[in-house]
Amino acid sequence: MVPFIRAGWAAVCLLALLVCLGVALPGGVAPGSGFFAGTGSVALLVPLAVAGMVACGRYDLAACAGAALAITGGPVPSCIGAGWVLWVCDNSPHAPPQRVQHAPDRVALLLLAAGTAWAGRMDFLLPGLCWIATRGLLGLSFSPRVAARAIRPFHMMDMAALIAGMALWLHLPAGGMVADTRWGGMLIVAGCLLYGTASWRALCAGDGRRVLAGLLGGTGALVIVIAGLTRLAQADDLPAMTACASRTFMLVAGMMLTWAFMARVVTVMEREAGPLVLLRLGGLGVLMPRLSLLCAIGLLAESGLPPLIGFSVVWMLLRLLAAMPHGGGLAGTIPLLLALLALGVGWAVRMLALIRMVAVMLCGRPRTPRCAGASDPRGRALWPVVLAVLPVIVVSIWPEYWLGLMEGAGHPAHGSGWPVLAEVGLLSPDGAAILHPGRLCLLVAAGGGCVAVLRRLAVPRPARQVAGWQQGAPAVPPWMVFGDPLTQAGPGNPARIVLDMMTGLTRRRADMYDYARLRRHIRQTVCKGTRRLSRPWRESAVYGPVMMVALCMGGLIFIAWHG
Amino acid sequence: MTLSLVLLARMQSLLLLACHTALVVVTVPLWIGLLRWMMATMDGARSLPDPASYWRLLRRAWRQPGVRSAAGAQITAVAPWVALAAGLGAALLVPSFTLGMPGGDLSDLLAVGGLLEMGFLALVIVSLAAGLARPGQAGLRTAVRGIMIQPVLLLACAVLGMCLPDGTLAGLVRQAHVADMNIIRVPLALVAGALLLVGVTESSGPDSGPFTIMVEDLAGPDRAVAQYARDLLVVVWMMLARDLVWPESVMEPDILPRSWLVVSIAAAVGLWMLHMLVACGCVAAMQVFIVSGRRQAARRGGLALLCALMAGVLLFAGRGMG
Repeated sequence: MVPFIRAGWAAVCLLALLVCLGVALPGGVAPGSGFFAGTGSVALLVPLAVAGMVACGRYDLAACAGAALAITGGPVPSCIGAGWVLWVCDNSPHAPPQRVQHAPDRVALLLLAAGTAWAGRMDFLLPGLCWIATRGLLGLSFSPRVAARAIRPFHMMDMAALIAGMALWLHLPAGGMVADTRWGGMLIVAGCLLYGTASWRALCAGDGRRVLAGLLGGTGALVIVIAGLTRLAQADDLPAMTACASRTFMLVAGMMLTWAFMARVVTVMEREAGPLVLLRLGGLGVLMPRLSLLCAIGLLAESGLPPLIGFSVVWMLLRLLAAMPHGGGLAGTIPLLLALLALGVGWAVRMLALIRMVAVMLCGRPRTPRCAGASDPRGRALWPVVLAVLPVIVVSIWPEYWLGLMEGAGHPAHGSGWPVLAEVGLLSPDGAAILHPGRLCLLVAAGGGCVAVLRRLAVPRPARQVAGWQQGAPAVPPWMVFGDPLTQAGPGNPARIVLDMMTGLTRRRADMYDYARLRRHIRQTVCKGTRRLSRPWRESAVYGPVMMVALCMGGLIFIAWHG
Repeated sequence: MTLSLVLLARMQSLLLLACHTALVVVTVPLWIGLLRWMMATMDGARSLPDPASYWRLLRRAWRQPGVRSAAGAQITAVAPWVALAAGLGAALLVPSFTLGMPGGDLSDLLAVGGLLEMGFLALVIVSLAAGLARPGQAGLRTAVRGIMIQPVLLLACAVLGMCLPDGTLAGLVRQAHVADMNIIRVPLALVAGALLLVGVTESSGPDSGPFTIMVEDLAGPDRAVAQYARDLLVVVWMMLARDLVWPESVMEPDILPRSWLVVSIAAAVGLWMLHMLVACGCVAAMQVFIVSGRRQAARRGGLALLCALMAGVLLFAGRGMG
């Protein structure tokens, strides 16, 4: 059954590619005028189809089907598809025992469907509704909690959920009250904060899949930041910036290829080395060098370091933020700098999470016999992973081709032809700065090649390998043949070192006590105040007037905010 | 005729690239030796290190037989060379004495910083590869102390993007030859200081500090390469800072045919060496007087962030007044 479903997804991928290339299909595909100008949501079918092809479980495939509905459907069916994906994610066997409350997401999806179906009634609220509705799909949360009961481990269905969330943002109408600078600023601030908390969750998680779930949440937060930037650009009538934001959005969609590849890698790794609990792994770089190399490429692409696709996304995002309208004063520049600062801190934490993953999983020695028995998959088993990395490398080297392909879906079918491929480089919103990832890759390859030749010529003798414990370190205890987790670089250390760097342990504990005391005090005060306020309510003394005044005040605040 | 001109220009750019690479690669131990000598002098050390001794140290490490820990040997065998390649790639993008090298338009500050970060992380991986506690902890601590590179780099790129449209070092140099740089020199100097604060983390001596612990499982050419790569990264950060502060001292290649070729190149190289000497002094003073002592990592990161933010504010204020 699974091969047939995969073949179906391959057909979907092919059809989506043909549509993107401008080939007129029988019946055609009508491009919608979406929130992101110049792009058709059909383009999202390409990464989704890749995910569908490499998905294994039925829940993953069901989520992919829901995401396909979210992409191809109109306002109401897309919300239904997104709701379906949310339901699948909540009811899958990988869902955490302590269920995350997704009731607000579902209510927001309902309201969003109503709002987009009856345009003009509640346009001002649509971005907020979309934000709440995509909260669970994009993995957004302000909470830094990392308990295994609270976070869902990363699976292919999370990728489908992310794509469904992106499709919802694409389907949001453009212009009118939807484009408002206040929503733009709010979304940017929220996106930066969400990026930071997602990175922190990735840094503190104790499981490889949950680390990846945190990192995926960071990608979802970037979608929110880009949505905010698009809103600002539309509100200030900056078409170049809108187009640039749209291209950045499509680059983030290109990162889905990386996520699909990583999902495949961790599945194979889990099959070979057992559950990806960080305290039990280690030494996979030696035990399975080929798969570890592929995993390192995927992590590099997600890290934002040159020259892979993550770097292109960071570069475009930086240019977009720098091109943000400043409001004509120093007070307008400071938020830009603070947004960059928040984004940079989140990026730094994300990088630490990746280092931690490499340190604990790929480096060191195996900590359990199960892990020590791991080896590279043999023969054909490795080919799907190798094939999955090829699109990542192609998109990283030539992102402009990917963007041309994606933008082709936004234009009407013209029978035949290719997207514009003449200019291979990423342009900033003002067109002054240009990045050539292909040439950067060439430079890195040339530097690496020179060093490899130097190494080959200058170091003819291979180095002698000795056991680590012979160099003066204490011998490995016999009851822990595979190494003591306490003597190796532990998985929880970076987070502790970050906290230690900011403040000492004693001070931190004192602050925590103060925080707990303050929180208890606030809770008691609020309870006391509520009791006092509700006393006349209970006695039915000022029930009507209080309600009326509260409602009037709320209405006035809303009108003042609305302008 | 046109083809021959194009070929000539290509050859000239390749020649300049070869000169630039040779100059940077050969002088790295010299700058590091001088940096350590200056730090020792400012610190009031009784026995000052010989600036040329670092050459001998590297040579001795290179000649030793190669030994590495069996655990993670495949990673240890590659990671120092990856760091060297990343550092070399970054060095190719940062102009030393002239523009006009191939890949000059790639000299985006974010790309250069990203490559330097990649080299730094490769060195951290060296320490983690064997899975031993002491080097691993030192590596993790170093990685955590270096994480402020990202926010500072983003802010620095934003400030540079406000100064000039294309945001590359080559663009900055070209603008410096046609416009007055004094208006934006202070913000750029602040950006350079911020990058030096977060980029140059440890240079206290060849046999001390966390880096020595990080590479204690290596011997032979791999160790020499790791040490050299670390020093190359420091020198590239200093070159970057120098280019931000004195961009007009970098020559443009179209000047070459119109004047005395050798004299021009010699003058530009001399100016570069002088500026690098000043940069060494600044870094040494920064290391000794500003960010020494306990909690230096947090202070270093906070100061760097403050410098970068101040650069943005000053740039805006300068524009408003101008």
